[in-house]
Amino acid sequence: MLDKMLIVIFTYNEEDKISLVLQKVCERFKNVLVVDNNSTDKTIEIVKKFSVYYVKHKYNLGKSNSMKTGLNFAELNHFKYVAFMDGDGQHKAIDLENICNKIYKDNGQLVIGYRKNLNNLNFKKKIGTMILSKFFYLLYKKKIFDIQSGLRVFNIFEKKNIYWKSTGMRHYFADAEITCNAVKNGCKIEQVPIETLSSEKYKGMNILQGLYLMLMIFVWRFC
Amino acid sequence: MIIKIFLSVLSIIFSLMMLYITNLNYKKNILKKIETIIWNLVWLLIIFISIRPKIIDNYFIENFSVDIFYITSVLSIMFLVIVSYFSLVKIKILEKKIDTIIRADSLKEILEKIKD
Repeated sequence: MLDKMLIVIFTYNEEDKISLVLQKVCERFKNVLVVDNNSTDKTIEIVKKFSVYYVKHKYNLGKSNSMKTGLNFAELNHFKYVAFMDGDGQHKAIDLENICNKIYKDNGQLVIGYRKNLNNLNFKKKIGTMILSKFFYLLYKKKIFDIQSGLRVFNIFEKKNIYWKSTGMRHYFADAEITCNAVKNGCKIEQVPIETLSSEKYKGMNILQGLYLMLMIFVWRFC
Repeated sequence: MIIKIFLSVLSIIFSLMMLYITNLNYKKNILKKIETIIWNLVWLLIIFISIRPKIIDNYFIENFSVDIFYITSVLSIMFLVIVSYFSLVKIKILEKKIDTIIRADSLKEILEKIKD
């Protein structure tokens, strides 16, 4: 499994967290790529100390383009599976391992980690996640617990079915777009419960962005 | 009457400023010579209309029985929509190009290292 799997970790000014994240991930996986979005702190210097691949964008292109860089790297190096993980330490390496095992054992197409316990989220995030999930079900007739989860793994051969276009202002919608495209194109999606550690840095979306995402979920369904 | 004069003065000041900016852009090699001439003519025409609005108003009423205000509003909206559309398309194309170049550039180094 390890030879076929690429773990892509996204960073932007994560000097406090990245060391621990890489330590835990490197214990379990041998192919790890860190995509840095032009951090201004010492993130990349810390990353260099680990035995991982790393690339640094010369400008901050947002998460969506970092995901594309990771996918390109995986294609060029003939990996079969690509797993995405945020570098802010909100996901546990054990959960990453679980979703990777799941896709490998079931020969799956897309496995999404979903937050099993929303109670440790603040009220806004909790309500937002629930509303998005209900709205998604209404349009796509599929129960996805966390359409925006940043922890996911997919088979690279499914690229044409899940490829995302969200960039610029909408770069944070890429995860949701992947989920929408996968459901729309009939991919086999599996969901694995994960634990999410609360991140002070990530404040989530505001109400306007949430409404914009709902509009985009509607657009992706019918266009 | 005062409002009309105020609008004319405002329009003249704006056009003079745009004339200056247009020529500045020509000196910076942003605009070509022909583009500069066309834009200068456009701003001069606006100054002319601002000074003698009656001429153009009478011409349209006599020949086409329409008010200049109506024509201006329709043309302005049309122009704004066209300009906005092409600007948006151009920005999207540029954004895509920049994203591709930066991503390719970031991967180049690591792929060379792997090859070595």
